[in-house]
Formats: sequence, structure tokens, C-alpha cells
Amino acid sequence: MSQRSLIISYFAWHYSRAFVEIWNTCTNYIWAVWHFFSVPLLLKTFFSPWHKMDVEYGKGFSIDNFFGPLIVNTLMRLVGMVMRAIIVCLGLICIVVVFSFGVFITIVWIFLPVIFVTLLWQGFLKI
Amino acid sequence: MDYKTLAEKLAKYAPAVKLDRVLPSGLRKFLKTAFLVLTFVFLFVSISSVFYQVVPVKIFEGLEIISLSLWLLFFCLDAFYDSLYFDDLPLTAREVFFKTPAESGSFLTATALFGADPDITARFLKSPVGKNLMMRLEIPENERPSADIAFPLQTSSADIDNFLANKKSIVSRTEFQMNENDGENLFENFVSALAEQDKELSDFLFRYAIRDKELRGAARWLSQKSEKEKRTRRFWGRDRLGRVPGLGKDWAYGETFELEKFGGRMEEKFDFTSRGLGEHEKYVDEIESVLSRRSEGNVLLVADDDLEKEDVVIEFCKKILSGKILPTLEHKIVFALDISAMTVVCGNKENFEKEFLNVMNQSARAENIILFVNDLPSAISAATAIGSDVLSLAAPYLSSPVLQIIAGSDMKNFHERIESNIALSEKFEKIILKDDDEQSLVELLEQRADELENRDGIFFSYPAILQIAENASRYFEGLVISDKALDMLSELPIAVARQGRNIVTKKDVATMTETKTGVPTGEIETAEKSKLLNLEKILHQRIIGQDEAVNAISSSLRRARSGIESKNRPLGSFLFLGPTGVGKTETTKALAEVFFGDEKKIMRLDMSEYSGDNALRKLLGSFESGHVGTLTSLLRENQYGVLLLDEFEKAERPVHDLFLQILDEGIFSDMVGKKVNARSLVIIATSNAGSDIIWDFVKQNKSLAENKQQIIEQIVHQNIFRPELLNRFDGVILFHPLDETMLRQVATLMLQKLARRLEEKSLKLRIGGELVNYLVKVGSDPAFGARPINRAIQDQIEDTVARRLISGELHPGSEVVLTEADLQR
Repeated sequence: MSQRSLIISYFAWHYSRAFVEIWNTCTNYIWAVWHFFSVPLLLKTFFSPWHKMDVEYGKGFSIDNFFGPLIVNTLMRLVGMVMRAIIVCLGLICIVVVFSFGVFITIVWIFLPVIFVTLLWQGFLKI
Repeated sequence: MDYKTLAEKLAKYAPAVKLDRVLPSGLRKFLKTAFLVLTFVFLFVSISSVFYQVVPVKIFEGLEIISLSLWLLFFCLDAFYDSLYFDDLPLTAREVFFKTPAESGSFLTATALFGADPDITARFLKSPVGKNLMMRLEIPENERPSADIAFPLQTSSADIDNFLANKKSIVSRTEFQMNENDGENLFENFVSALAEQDKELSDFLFRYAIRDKELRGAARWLSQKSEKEKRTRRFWGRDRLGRVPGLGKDWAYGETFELEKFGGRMEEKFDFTSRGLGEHEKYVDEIESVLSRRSEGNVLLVADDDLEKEDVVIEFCKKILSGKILPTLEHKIVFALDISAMTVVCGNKENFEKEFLNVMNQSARAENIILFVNDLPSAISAATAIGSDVLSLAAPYLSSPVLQIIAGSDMKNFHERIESNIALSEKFEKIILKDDDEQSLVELLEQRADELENRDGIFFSYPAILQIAENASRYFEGLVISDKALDMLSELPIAVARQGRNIVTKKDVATMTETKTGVPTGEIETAEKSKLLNLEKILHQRIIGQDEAVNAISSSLRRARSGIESKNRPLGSFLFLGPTGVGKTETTKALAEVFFGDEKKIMRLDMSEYSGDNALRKLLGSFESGHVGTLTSLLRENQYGVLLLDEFEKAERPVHDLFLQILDEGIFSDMVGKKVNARSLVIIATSNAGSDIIWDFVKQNKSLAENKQQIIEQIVHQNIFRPELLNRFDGVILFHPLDETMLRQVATLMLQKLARRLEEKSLKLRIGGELVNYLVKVGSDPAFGARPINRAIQDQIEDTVARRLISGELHPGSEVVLTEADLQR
């Protein structure tokens, strides 16, 4: 393989497989964020009590026996829901950021050879 | 597959191979970093220049932009290279656009295949990967290697250069063929096919004792090392990204603060990057199956090696963390719980039981906990020591659907304490981890060697790795082989560092094995060579006559030391038959002294002691009484030497059966099923059985050698030994009764021995014909061979000398002259 064909191979790669690589990496990061923020698990357990902290209802009916645990258990579920909602939202925001970054890199990549030549040219002009 | 098909298959890597030759990856890496640094330096200087106006700002801005553009250029080149370089990396977690990677080892094969030389062998040997492979195979032996695959040895070795310069034939494109279905790794198949087709290459490798097994193994190892390096570098892959622990995973489950006081998550307690590297997939699948099948299922791992049990559980945890586990086990957390430490911290029964129940209650309530208790028998013992019955406390949780336990035990305690407890053993599904076979041991050693190479900058040759595995299996049988092999592997770098080297070779392994076991395994040195070649002569300095015995033993030992004998049997095994006092024991002693360097290397068992009902128990030990066997403990202490079984015919038949196995396989099991190695022993059984038959033949002036078969048949006929037992010995040797000439020689030898002892007291014994004649006269009892001579020396000569010493007749420096009259007094 000559050096000329090496350069041709590079450009063929730059405008074909490189895009697949960029979007593969981008989907990997989206996947990692999705799992880092445990989005599927948190949605599945959205209404569960916080750390399984619940109080058992006492034997026999009384106001204390019923409403005490009811309030605590409702509160624990509410705490769990709020915390999960925050994390899920954060996760979704991060996913949007990663996706946007992927789009930005793709656009830059298209013009990268031009950017390289321009930068080099500008650099020499300044010197 | 022909060359054309292979080249087409690998054509996509050609640009990367070319790029590496034009601009080697090490140089690219250096330049990329340098331009990035320069960009920041120029940026900093140009910002400073705005304020201080030392030099025109524009110049630095220009230099900064040029550096940045050049960094961009090298970044793009690296991205281009990496895209091809990582193409053959098998991925654990599937990625959207790369579901089926190329065959393992494809990139390495491409680097070895593409080149201008018409000879494919030359291309391979001149390529960086070819040079690296040769270095791994100790070719040439004294070159300093680099462990870096990407930037390997750049200087070609003289041996390889000479080989290529004198090569008469070539493997051309049209001739090259390789079998596609040989194995999973393309690089391994390629080098093997090349050596198979290039006779000159295979002869060259054979000169370094490299056969297909070593060549393939080293190629596979190199390919795996490259794969590992790729896996570490590819930080953007799901395999790496997925290892980051997530947020909120345990929010749906209960708290575990009580448990955290006495235990820890496996991933926090153990180094997951260097352990549990995938060699126990079978056991991990079994654990997964048991724990997911029944929510109240628990697992008991049985193995002597604690590390191995941990490794299996670490692999299981990795499977959970990777998300590739059955849904019932998703989000489970494996906690290592140290019950022994808990008993120490709590101090007494009450505190311990309270804490233990807290831990178990909280773990059960959390609903996502799997507890790992590595050494269950120790935990039971520790609790028993403070008066608590931990098994009763744990019993309700063992059948609970919300808490699962993986416990570990060694084989001995499993049989003694767990298997016998039916209630307990019913709660656990038992998984016995079998000893590694040699291949999986080699793979384990390869992985650990990689770690040591990266950590200590050491270089292991592949034959060294194979030698460690072979020696560990051969000389450390009965112990945890993988432990012993890994111990050797980690001690070797220290040993070679003392000699100022950083390469571990096969020879270093042989030296270390010899140091540890006393068994000579390395190359035969000059002095030993001469001894081995003249064994008969040396043995005859102590043994009079008995040519058959001396010749048989000498041949057997030469075979053993040269390494051509079967490795799965003792070094040698002989049955010495003959009347008393003809040199059977003396031959054994001479053998121990000459071959093993010391008469004390004899382990003697008087087999008449093993004639009762409990003979086997005495030899092997008893499981019920805990009594340790004589034979097992003897061999565990000294695995290299002579095992002398005196009066073998008097042992019970089951004992003979045991030796059938030992003589055949060189290995047997003790009372708890642990293997005992007898493969580095020379086993000599002596027996007076058949003496009368031998005597009859001698009296009739018949040759024993010519009538040996007839004599053996008569011994079998008399039911003294069974034919299958006699056939297991390497040789059944008949010892001749001694005639008068022989007795004279024996008497002279015995007197010389006495003279040496007297010399230590500064006395000189004059050995004359009269003295020898006297000894033969009083000691010539055909029934007892040379034994009466020995008695006569003790009773008469030694006694006379002692009397003279005490009376002052003899003093240091005197010459002891004894006449027949002196001795008859």
C-alpha cells in the first residue's frame, strides 16, 4: 500500500465509518447515562417507600394504630417519589446534553479537514 | 483458507498496518501529546504577551494555532487507526453499531501478514509481532525484551537473522494454506499453519524445544494480552462505561448499615480488575441457576483454595453488575460477611447473637442481599468457641425467600462437619470446585503473569509459564495446585531480580522447583552427567555382585533424570527378592546416596507392621479417629527419595492393592480424599519370599537369570505375590546368595568402613588378608549372607578396639593391628 492510497483510505474512512464510530460512542454514553441514573429501575419502583422504610399497622383498630403508620408510610412513599423524580429528570437532561454534543461533534467532523487546513493557514499567516 | 482469502479478509486492516510502519504508534502518541502541550504553552505565552509586550503576540498566536491544527491531525490519525485496531475486540456488552466483531487475533495476523517480502515466514519473523512472539518463546535466550506489544523489540536477533539469511525455501502466496476450523484465534492458527508448512521454520523452532503446543499457546497468549490492552484503552465502550456504579440502585431496597459493620460489598472488598477474570464461567452459571431457581436456594462452594472460591463469587458479582444476569437476580448485592470477626468484636455469646440476628434481620428485610460467608466451618467454630450455635440462629434465614447465602468450605471440613449434618446440607446446593486441569492452570498463570509484567516490569517467557504449570501439577500434588503455581509465579520475579535480570525463563522455573522440592528438574550439569553415565561403576563400589539389580536401577534412574520416562508413575519401582544378607538394603542405601545425595533420603516402612485388619488405616490415616497415616505423612514431608518397603510380602492384601495403584499411577488419596504424590520416588520393595526356591536353584548350580521366570512363577504359585502386582514393578530383581569371593569383598568393604570411623578417632586400622580371612570364616553362613560378618565386626573387632582404647593400649595416632589370635581371645 502506497502513501497515496493511505491518504485515500483515510478520507474514505473519515466520511463513512467515522460517523458510525461517532454515533456508536454517542449511543454508548447515552446508554451509560440511562443506567447511571437508573432510569428504568427508578421508574419501575417509582411509588415504593424510601429504602423500604414502612411501619406495620398494629393489631386491632384504633386511630393511633391506623393513622400513625398511614402518615409515616405515605410520607416515605412521597420522599421516594420526589427523590426518584429528581434523579430521573437529571438523567433525562444529561441524555439531551450528550445527544446534543453528539450532533455538534458530527457537524464539526464533517468540516474537520477544512478546519485543519484553515487553522494551519491562519497560523502561518500570523507568523 | 488460502492466502488470497486470508488477505482479503484482513485487507481492511492494511491502512492501519501501513500507518504503523510510516509513523509508529509510539511516535504518534508522543507527537500528539507534544502538540497539545505546545498549544497550551503558546496560549499561555500569548496571553502573557498581551500584558507584558515582550514579544509580538501574533507569533505565539500563530504557533498556538499551528500546534492545535497539528494536534487535530494526529487526533484524526489515531481515531482512524483505533477504528481498525479495535475492530477485532470481542465485546461483552453489545453496542448498537458493532454487534459482531472480527475474529479474535485478526489485527495481529494482519500486522504479521502484510509486507513486501515474497516469503511469508520472513514477513512474519520481521514484523514487530513476530519478533515479540519469538522473544516470548525464549528465542534468542539472552535478548532483552520489551513487554510492550504496541512498541516491541526493534532490534532483530542474530539467530533469527541467520536463519532467514540461510533459508533455502520460501512459503509463497500461492503455497500458503491454513485450516479455518483449527481454533478460535486467527493469529494462533496463522502461526501454527506457517510452522506446519515451513519445515525449516519448524526445525528452527524445534532447536529451541518449541513445538506446536508452545507456539500456539504463546500466540494465543500474545493475542489475549493485546485484547486486554485494547479493552483497557477503549474507555468509550459499554464494557468500561457500564462498570460505573449508578445512582439510586438501592433506593427500592432496605438499608444495610448493620451488615456494613461486619461485612462489605464484594466490589468494595476485592480488586475486581485483577480477579475473577472469567475462568470459572461454568460454576458462575451453576450459582446463577441455583439462586434464581428457588428464592430460598443457597449455595455451598467446596474447594480447598479460598482464593478460588472468592474468584468464583467475584465473577458472579461481575455478572450481576454487567446486567447480564437472570431478572430474578438483577439488583442483588453480594455482601462478604465475616462471622469470625463478628465473634471477636462482640466478645461474648449474648452480644454476638444480638448482632448476628440484627444483621440477618436487616439483610432479609432489604430483600436484595446475597451473603457470602467464605469459610463456613471457621465461622461455626468461632461461634462455638463463645458458646453460640450459629447454625440454629441462621436456620430460619436459610429457608427464607428474601435472603440467600453463598457459603464456602474446604473439602475436609465439608466431609467432617457439613455433609454429616443432614439438616444443614439440605439447605445448601453443593458445588464442588474441581482442581484446575493443566490448561486452565496455564490460562490462570497467563493472566497473573500479565498483571506482574504490568506492575513490576518483568517479562515471563511462555515456556516458563508452561513449566510452572507442569511442575506445580507434578511436584505439588495433594496441595492446592493453583496456589502453589501462583506462589512460584510471584516469587520468580524476586529470584531473577537478585541476579540482576528481568526475564523469567524456563530454566529459572526449574531452579526454583529444585530449591523448593529438592527434585532436580533442570538441565543436567557436567558433574551429574558423569555420575549418571557411570552409575553402575559407582554403585558397585558399595555393592558386591548383584549385577542385575545394579544395571536395572541405573537404567531406570537415567531414564527418570533425562525426563523420558512416564511422568505419571514413580521414578522407578523394583521388587528385590532374595535371601537375607545378600545386599538388598545395601543396594537401596547405595542408590539413595548416589542418586539422591544422602542415605537419609530413604523412607523405610517395615511392612510386617501392616499385616493386621487396620493396616490400611495405619498407612493412610483414619477419617473417624483423625489419625494421620504413616505413608501419607511420610510422603508429604519428603516427596523425593527412596521409599523402602521392607518385608513387603508380610503386608495385608489390601496394602498390596494400594501399592498396585501407587506403582501404576504414582498417586493415591488419603483418608479425606486428598491426593498424595509418589511420582518423585524410587519405590523399592524387598522380600525374603522365595529364598528357598532361589537356594534350591543355586544348590543345583542353575543360573538364576536363566530361570528367573520359573522362580517368579513358583512365587506366584505359592500365593506370596499376585502376578498383577509383580507386573506393576519396573523390575523384579533376584539377589544371588554370596559366594566366598564375594564375601571376602564384602568383608573388605565393611572393614574399610570401620577404618574410616576409626580414622575420626585418629586410629589407623590395618586391613590385612588374615583379618579378612578370619571374618569370612566366622561369617560364612549361607542362610544369613553377609550379615554374620557385620556381627563379627561389631562383636569382635569393635569390641577389641574399644577395650584397647579404654585400657590406654591405643591412643590417638596408633595403628590398630589385629590378628586372628587377638580376636579369638
